[in-house]
Amino acid sequence: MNKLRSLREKKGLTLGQLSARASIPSRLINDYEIGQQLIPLPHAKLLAKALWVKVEDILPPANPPAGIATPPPAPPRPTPPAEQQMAAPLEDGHQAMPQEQRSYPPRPGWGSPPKPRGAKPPRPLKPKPEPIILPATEGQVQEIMRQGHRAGLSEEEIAAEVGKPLTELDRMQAREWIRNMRERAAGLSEEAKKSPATTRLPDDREPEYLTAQQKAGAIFSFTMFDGQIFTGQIKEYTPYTIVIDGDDGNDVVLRKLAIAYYQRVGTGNPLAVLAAAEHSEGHHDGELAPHKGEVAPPHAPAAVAGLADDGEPGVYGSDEHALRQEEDARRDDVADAPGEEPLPATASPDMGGHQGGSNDGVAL
Amino acid sequence: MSLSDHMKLLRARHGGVTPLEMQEVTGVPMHEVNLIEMKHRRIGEDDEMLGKLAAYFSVPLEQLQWHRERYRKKLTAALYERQDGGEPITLKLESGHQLSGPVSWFDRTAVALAQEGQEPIVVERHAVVDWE
Repeated sequence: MNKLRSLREKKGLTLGQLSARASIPSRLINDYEIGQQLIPLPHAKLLAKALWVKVEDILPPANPPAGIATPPPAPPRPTPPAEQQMAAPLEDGHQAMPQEQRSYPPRPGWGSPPKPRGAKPPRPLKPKPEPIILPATEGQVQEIMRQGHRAGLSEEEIAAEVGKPLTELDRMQAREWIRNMRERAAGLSEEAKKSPATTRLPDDREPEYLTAQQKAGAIFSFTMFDGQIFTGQIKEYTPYTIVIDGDDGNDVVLRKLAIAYYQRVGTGNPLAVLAAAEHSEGHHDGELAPHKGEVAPPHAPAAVAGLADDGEPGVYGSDEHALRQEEDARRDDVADAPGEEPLPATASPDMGGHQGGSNDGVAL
Repeated sequence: MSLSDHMKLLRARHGGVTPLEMQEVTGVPMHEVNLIEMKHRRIGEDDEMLGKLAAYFSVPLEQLQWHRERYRKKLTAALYERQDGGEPITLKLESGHQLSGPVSWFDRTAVALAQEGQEPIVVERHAVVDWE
């Protein structure tokens, strides 16, 4: 029994208690006690502090203060029988471990000598593997063709550009050609944005314009499908209607579907603006006539030769145009016959309910 | 004028007949008529269906086919082209008028044609029969 064990027993501490106080594993303390291992100085300090003694009291006299001198070889212990090894309890009540299990390999930093750090022998350089060239996949070939067609190229043109059959391309080359064709097709699609099929346009220019003119108090002249002209200030508008101040002070609701075109004619008093417009000259084709309350015939005369008065263009031919005029004249005659009302030329079925009969200020 | 707008106009001229009433007479499903009136792209490929509609409205089939080729997106493309090129465009209206001028602005519903020394004329797109 060395000094450490005697001190521990004198203080009435078990191995476990001393281990907890010194933060040293009890197994190691046991080794120190039985002389299996030398006590290194840091542990000696910890144990001395835990036992309230000096370091010199723990270290054996032969042990130099550094605690790293070669200790005298521990006397060989008699080997107890195997059953005794397994079952022999320690004096502090701990189960003793078999000798084989108590011999642990030295731990790094716990007294074991540092590993020599010599220069490692250079690793032999591995030869780079030869790149494996794989032929283009069928999907890649199809993708080149597809993107090429998108770019407006025929099969022959694609093959001519590539310079060899697509099936002879390797996988990397095929990847490059796919990228190439895709970029070309994308460039085309930028141009195609103005094609009729893909054109997009803003929705709100007309509302912006009407809002600005409404705030400015502008007076507009509205020409309807059937030739009627209404003039007044815009009071309000919706996507389907525009409400203006009528000549008689009543509001007139104009359906957007019944409006052909409109133009700002000035600001201020609508009547004064109309009077000024009457005296002005050089009106363009289809220029505004003053609205005097009368209703123009459903089919206003065509302002341009070659257009039928119902608006159908001259592509039907001049003979057809004449026939259509006659037909319209007959239709007007029928509509003017007593007991029958003419069909509203520009009524919108979508807006509902204002066709024929009394319009009550609603322009159709 | 697109077939969409022309179909609306024809219905209006026939007393505001509804697509449902047309379906009962012609057998053309009302959703087909709604589709024709709603779309801005070229639509109305089925000549047989157009023939039924033309017969119902007592107009030649060629008339509907002619309007089919003047769909709204085609007018939009023409407007873009003229606007970018700074060239005037001439719009022929259903009312018989013919208006010309550089495109000042346009949107889905209207086109503003600039007029020299005057305020621009705003033309409702559904009134445009043809352009050049």
